[in-house]
Amino acid sequence: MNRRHNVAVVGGAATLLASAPLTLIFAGLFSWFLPIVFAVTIVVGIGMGLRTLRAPLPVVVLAQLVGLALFLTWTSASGGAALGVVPTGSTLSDFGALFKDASDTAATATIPVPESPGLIFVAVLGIGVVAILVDLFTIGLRTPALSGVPMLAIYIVPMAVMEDTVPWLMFIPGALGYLWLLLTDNIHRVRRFGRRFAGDGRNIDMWEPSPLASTGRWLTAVGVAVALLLPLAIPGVNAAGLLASFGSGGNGDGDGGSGGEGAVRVNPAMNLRGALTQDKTTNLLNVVTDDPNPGYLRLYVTNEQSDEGWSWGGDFGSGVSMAQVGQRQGYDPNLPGKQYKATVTVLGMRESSLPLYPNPDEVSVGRGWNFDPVTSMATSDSRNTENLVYEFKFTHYQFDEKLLRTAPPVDQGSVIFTENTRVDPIESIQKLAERLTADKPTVYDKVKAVNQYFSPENGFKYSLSTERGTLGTGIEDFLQTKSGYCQQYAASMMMLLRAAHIPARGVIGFTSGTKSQNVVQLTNRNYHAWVEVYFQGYGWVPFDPTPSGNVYGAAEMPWAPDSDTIDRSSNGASEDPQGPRGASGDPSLAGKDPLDPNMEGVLAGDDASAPKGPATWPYWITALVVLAILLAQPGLRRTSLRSRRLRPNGDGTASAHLAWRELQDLLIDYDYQGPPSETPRGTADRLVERPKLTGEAAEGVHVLATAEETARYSVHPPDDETADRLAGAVGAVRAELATHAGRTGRLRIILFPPSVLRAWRAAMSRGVAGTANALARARGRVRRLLTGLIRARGRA
Amino acid sequence: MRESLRGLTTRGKAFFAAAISFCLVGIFIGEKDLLRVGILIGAMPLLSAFALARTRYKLVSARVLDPQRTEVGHSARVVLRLRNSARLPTGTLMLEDRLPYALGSRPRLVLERLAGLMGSSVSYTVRAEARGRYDVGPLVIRMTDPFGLCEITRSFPTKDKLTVTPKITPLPAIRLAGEYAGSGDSRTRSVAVHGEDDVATREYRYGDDLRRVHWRSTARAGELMVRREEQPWESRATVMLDVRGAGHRGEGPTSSFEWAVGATASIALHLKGHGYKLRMVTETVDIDGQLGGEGEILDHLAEVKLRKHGVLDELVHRARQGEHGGLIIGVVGQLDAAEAERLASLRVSGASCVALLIDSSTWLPLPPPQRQKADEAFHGTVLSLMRAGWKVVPVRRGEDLAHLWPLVGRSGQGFATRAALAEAATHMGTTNPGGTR
Repeated sequence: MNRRHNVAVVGGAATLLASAPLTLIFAGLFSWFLPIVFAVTIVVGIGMGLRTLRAPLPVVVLAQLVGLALFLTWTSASGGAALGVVPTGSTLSDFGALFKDASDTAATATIPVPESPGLIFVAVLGIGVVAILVDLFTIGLRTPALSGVPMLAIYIVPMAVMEDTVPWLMFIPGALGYLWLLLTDNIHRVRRFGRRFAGDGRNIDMWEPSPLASTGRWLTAVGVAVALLLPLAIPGVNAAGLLASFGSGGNGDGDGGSGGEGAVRVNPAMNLRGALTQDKTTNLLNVVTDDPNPGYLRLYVTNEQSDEGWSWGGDFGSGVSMAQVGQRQGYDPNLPGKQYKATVTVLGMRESSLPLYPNPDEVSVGRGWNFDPVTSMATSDSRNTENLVYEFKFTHYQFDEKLLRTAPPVDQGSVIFTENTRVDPIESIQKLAERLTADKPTVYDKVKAVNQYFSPENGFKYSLSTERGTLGTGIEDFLQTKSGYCQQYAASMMMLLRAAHIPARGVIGFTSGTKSQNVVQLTNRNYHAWVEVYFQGYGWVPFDPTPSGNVYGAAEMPWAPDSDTIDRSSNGASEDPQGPRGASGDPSLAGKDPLDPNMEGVLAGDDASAPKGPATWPYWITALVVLAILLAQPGLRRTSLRSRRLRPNGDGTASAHLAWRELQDLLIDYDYQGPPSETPRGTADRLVERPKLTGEAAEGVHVLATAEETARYSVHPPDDETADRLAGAVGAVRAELATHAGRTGRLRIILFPPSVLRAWRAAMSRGVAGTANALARARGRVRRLLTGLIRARGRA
Repeated sequence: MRESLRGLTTRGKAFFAAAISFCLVGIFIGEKDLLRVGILIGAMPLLSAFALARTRYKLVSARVLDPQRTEVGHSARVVLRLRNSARLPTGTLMLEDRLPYALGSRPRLVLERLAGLMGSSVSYTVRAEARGRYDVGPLVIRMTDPFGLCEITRSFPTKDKLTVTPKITPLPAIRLAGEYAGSGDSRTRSVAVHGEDDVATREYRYGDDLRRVHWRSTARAGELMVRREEQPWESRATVMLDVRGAGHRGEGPTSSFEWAVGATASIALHLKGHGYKLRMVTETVDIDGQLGGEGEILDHLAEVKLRKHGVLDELVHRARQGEHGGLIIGVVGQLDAAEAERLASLRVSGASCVALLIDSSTWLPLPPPQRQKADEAFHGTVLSLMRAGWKVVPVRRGEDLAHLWPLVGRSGQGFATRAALAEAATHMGTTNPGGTR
């Protein structure tokens, strides 16, 4: 019988260990880890079972895949499955929906991802496949070293998704698992090389530990330590690699004013969502400005439009040079405005775009940053804002309704118009835009109408967890479900405006934040998205469609009435039970004092706990209890065996034999087993010599030996007096042996007595061998029967 | 360390290659996480090699075969003795004794740990199904690290020879014609009529009869000398084995040649056991079976091979060269008429010669006409040997030597033999009328 089962089990365990880095991706632990444990168990179990029945390799792999599919059906897509596990057509469409959900979540959510059935489905599927591969490489193809490849794939996932380095702790479980697998496999190979024997000529059982294992453990510890420490000693390797520093080679002259090295490429939309859903609040920026009422701080601008509203696929580093700051397109020089100054200190943000107020006139920042007059963004393709401090001057224009109403429609032939009104022709949106702007005379009124459309009065509510609609594209879904957050609001407004042929573009940046005196503090809660609309002669004017009650630090824009203000008089945000403001249970806070920093922690907590499903702790407690009961079995079995053996039964011979058996088991437990040919007297003498039993124990062991001798060889069975002393003797020997075993050793022996484990193992392998033989016999019988039938038919 | 690194397995080398590429990619794209992986799998082979090199070992190995000579189908025990002459304990050693495949699969043993200055021994059994002399060894020792990344192979050059002799058939004790016919030392026990007694003397040993003291030589030698009178007559025998390729049929362990070798070995041992002074002759060797000579005979028989172009003359010549008094037993294959004559001529008057004449054509399946022809030729050979006074025991396929052996001892010119002669004569007469004239 092939005893590679322990290698298979270790392979499964290594797979689980290697999946540890996923804890970085998922917010919870149990919602994804439990199914993964089950999936791996199923895969390994099927593999072991089928191999015991000597199934060929393709059958094993196929069965494992089928098992995984059934498990996934059972857990993830119970809808439409026959018997709850057998997938049907509708199950497959369920799977499709889950995949869609996973890709959506991956596109919108940031790390750590709150519970998402789609992502969990994908994770279980992925780890299940990895477990099958590991099993295949380890047992099927006997190349366990290759199983590092799928395990590395798991490790790479967080590496690819996270912009930071993966914490070093996450490296350890996978490395340990992999080395453990290699070690087990090699020890198995050595064991199977031939008959094992020790230096003293004693034969060694297959199950006894190999001295290689302890060497292996040492090497593992040293190797992992080296792998953790050595990268620290290599100076060139930081978060940003050599490649990046090659790119900025000319700039990397130690100019502290140009920020961190290396460009950061993240999807601003994902970043936005991630920042807003994060549990904790971190201070990102401090801005010192003499503007009493600074507007929003712009970070990224897009004029690309997509299904989801807008896309951020573009390269932001398209700026030309800082010299172009101050060049503005199409602004009326008579516009009332005032120049202010701002100093930005970046505390904890790494972006490759400088946060600037609209209409900057002069930016003093280190080399490596370029300004794009079209988008008015300052970006870099080699630096990021890490720990950057910079100053800039900007002009704050005072737009108002009257002025803006005078703005004529934008010339349809101009670049600004063509660039910023591109929109996918979606019928419903087109219709809505026409309906909203139908009888509005001026551009400004049209814009205002669209802006007002997003008020809670029309059923819009703010929610960070978006609901899925049925219409397909993200914007249509939003306009149908009317539930979303700033990004959807802004994107929808942009699309509606564009559908009405008004140039508009999306902006991601920061709200006005918390201002005390002239210092503005900006945290991750202040990430925001809004819209800029182009007015002929006035340039780009910001509009914020998101109800200000849901925005931390929303600015007053006199020209753009807050979509929230209309019904603020009536009921406020209490219509909005899912929104964070509603959850805080105090409608008076809504919008009135959005800058209160004390609220943020509370809100964040509510936010994170909102999407939790039914409680899972009863399952966990049950599982723990069951586990504890299972783990206690060997110890309990040993105790019951002992008490049964030492119970007085009136038969001297039987009790002597039982007591002697108990002593033998004790010796196995405490690792003082002698050769099977040893006489009782020899055993007693040996024990007195080593481990030097003394006093009562020495006496006890002699009592036991004498009783056993008498029971074996004498015609007179041991008398009652001896029989009564047996239990005490065993107790004395046991107490004395225990003193030789150290505390942990004693605990191990009490919890997992080797004698019981050995007996169970033997019984199990006998059972398995018996089953396998019976199956083989049955198969042979069937084959004979079949060939007989075929032959009989052939004769007929 | 260098040796361990040279012993990197495929896995170890692959680890290095992967480590280098991971490190390069990690440094290039600036992923510390990838660099960690690279360093880990690059460090493991180095650490393993270091651990392997650290367990320096000085091993001494010895091998004992028990017995060194065994019969076909019997097993022999090989005891390996290992001693660690270093003070440090060894790591796990994988031992493999190289054996020719005829001796079965190679024994593989795992020695988990041998403490410093300690010895250990382990034994295994081998069993051969074909005679021959086999090399046992060399012992190959492999040491591996815990992860199977490097492996050192070291072999102890000493080899031992295991002789697998042909199958020996125990033979019944019979009286042979040539017993006590040889000329031993005792021939000189003639009594001199005139002059000094022609006596052989030897020094006195405890227990000798004082009456046998030969005072004259005692005086000459200065110590007690006694007359030697107790030498027994000696039986002598020469066993011949025919190794001509032409004389034998069949292949492998069931061929007529193998039967002949087995018979020769059995007869030689039997005769040696009954006190014969033995000689064994083939075309190539002439072995004197004195002190320990049966070992030499068996060793030769273990590896004797058919000679493709062997000539009977050489055998006869070699047999004639030595002292060939006493009994001659030849185990002979198929002969043609001329060869039969030459073999027959080996017998001098008075010597008793027995031929175990193998009818090797019976080892081949033949159609009836050819079978008859072969039988006739065989009869002719039998006859010509008988005419020269040889006793002929015909051997056919499937016959047991133990059953044939009594025929060797039966009085040569019995009724049956004479009847056979007569029958052969009439038989020949009918086929060749001219021959009787």
